[in-house]
Amino acid sequence: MMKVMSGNEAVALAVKLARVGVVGIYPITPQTTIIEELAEMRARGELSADIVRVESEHSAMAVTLGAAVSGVRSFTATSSQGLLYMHEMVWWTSGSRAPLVMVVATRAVGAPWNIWNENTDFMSERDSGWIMAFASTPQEALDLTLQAFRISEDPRVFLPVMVGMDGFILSHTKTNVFIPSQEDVDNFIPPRRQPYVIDPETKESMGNIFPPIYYMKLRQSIHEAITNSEEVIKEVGREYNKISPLGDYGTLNVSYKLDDADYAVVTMGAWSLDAMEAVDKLRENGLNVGLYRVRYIRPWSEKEIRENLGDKRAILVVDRATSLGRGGPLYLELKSTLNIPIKGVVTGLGGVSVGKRDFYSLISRFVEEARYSEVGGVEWYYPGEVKEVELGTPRTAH
Amino acid sequence: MSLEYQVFPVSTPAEGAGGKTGNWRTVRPVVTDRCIGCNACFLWCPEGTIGVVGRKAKVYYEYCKGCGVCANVCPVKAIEMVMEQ
Amino acid sequence: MESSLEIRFHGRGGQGVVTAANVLAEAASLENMFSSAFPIYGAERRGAEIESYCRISRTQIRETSPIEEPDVVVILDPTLLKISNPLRGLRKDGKVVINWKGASPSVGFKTYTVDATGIALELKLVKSGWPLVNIVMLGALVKATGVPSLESLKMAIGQEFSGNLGELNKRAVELSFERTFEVEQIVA
Repeated sequence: MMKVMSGNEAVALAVKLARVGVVGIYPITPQTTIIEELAEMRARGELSADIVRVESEHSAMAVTLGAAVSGVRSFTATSSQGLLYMHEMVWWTSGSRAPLVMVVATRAVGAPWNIWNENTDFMSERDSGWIMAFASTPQEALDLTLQAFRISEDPRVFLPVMVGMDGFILSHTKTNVFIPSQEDVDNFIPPRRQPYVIDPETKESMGNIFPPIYYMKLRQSIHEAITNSEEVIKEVGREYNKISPLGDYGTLNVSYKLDDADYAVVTMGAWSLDAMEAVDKLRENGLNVGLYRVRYIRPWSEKEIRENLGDKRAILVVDRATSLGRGGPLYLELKSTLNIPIKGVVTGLGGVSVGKRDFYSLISRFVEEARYSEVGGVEWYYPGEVKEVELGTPRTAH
Repeated sequence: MSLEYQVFPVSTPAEGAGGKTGNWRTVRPVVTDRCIGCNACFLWCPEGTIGVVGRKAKVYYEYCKGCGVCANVCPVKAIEMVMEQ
Repeated sequence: MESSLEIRFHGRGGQGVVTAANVLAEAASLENMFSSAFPIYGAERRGAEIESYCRISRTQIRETSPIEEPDVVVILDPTLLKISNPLRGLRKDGKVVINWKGASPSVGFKTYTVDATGIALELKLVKSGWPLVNIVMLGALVKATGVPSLESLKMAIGQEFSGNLGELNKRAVELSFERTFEVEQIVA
């Protein structure tokens, strides 16, 4: 069935279709309409999950984790400051090897206050031991959330999965979404599996002190589970394609017109579609460029990335996030994967709007540079209109 | 695929699994006749190794670490700390 | 319609600017077209200027940024013409659909006027003293562009609003469709 819905509505629907039992959640813009939608479903009697509205994101994850280890499929969602406040429990969840799913509607991080889109909040969790996927459309937000439950509960993985989507640009944009049937989803997601169940009747407990060697072995185990998840994700993706006619989930990441391209642009999230428009236009004008969209930041598929980008003359990586003082996280990851000239661009922070024209100018300028010189380094790009904004005079400290 | 790489942070606590803490003790609490059975020692003991049985406090020496908190809080000074031999 | 249509809505917080774009997107999808609708978020509040966007296309929509060069501008509140520039970036052959009573405004574009406030008051589509002109304006928009059909619009309204509110809004778009006046572009 097709329906016009926002990314947040699509996620809430995926949670319902996955027959989640507990949602521990706390509202924060731009994620709030997920919890609102779930609460309305519950009020209408369409959703049987217990929605536990706690007093903070730290507790939201604690509830979700507690439910997960006690044997229930559980879900939460957050954004920005909320994710940062939850940070400790995010690590506690992956360390506990608890299968569960969290959606992050991305948003810039304060100070100063800013509610608009930026991916730095999501990217700042990439060392935490979660499987991390990022959507580019409301459709993909629904698809990846459904797949996340199955990936998370696979015995080869047994890790939590974080699904990111651009705040507002995906979370609040209504567009056409294909909804798989409840029957198809029931067949797609097997009954709950998890590594252990904490039950007051048994003596087992979790998270007790681990001596150094055991602790390090657990850490290595998470590392191996993440690398092994690559095969699981492809397998689950292929299965999902069978229930969704538009599915393109046989690979971790997505390439667009890359085969014969000399140069490539690498992106993540919603603006990849604007970049595709630019790639088409540039090709019309004789520039041989393609696009590579990163869908999974963890696992980071070195193999897939080398196969798709290894033979390019140079690549341009556009990040909507920063590792301050170093450039964009995607840029840094690609630098450590490929041995070709790579230029980074940081833009779109705090809701700065970047469209197809910006990608057109960024990519064409990059190809021009790359043809005649060795490209590299990181550029902070401001679309034309932003340059004209009058910035307040900085005050000097007294 | 072999799943041998999978490690999970679960454990089943067992009494004395970490060794009997009584081994650490150099001074032991001894309850004298002055004990009034008020349970102050029970409430304060960090290890749960002392408590009133009948009308008088009794020490569980296998796990008592000999910290002396009980002797300190006893309102009638009924507990003496004695050097281990 | 050619392959795609970009529509920008201008109004004030509380008038239903966001809902108008959403309902339009739903109506277009009922005719198997691709559509996307979203507003500008920020310090939105009752009475503040609000913009929302709707793209309709025969092919997949790949643009995610706000519409800067619309084919059609829909103005829910005519006072906005004086305090801001809702016509910015409108294509040369673009259309203006405006809530307007009386002699038509000269805005330099092909213009469609409808007394949406009058229709809302007539049907008692009023909430907290505010005439609900958002859906009324969609009737005029459909008259101006032909996309989607009035029937699809009414179906989408039925999906969005239940009960009496849905019936009133369906009646409202019928009235506004009938009472929309086309004004040829006035060349200065």
